[in-house]
Amino acid sequence: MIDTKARVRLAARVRLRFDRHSGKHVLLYPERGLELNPSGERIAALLTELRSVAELVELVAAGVSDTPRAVVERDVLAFLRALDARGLLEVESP
Amino acid sequence: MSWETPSFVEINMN
Repeated sequence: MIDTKARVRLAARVRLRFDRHSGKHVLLYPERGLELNPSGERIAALLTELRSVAELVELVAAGVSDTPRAVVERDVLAFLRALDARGLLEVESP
Repeated sequence: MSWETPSFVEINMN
């Protein structure tokens, strides 16, 4: 289970790409893809290099003005766990 | 930026 101490990044087989047809960013992996909403895109863009979940939450929350940080952290963790459940993340636990 | 719960829609690329 991913927590704020874990370090995460996109797995090697996953690519973040912009889909001109839909106008949205997509995480591509063999045979499938995930079309992201803007918040998901912001998180995915930060997953291109290995960093701690705590740092990732700070970076995301710093750009959010209308939502408590605790809510952002909860949402980011849930999103990361959903990606991890699909095998799309490399996770280093401390 | 304003925050919305991050989400995705799974698509079959083929």
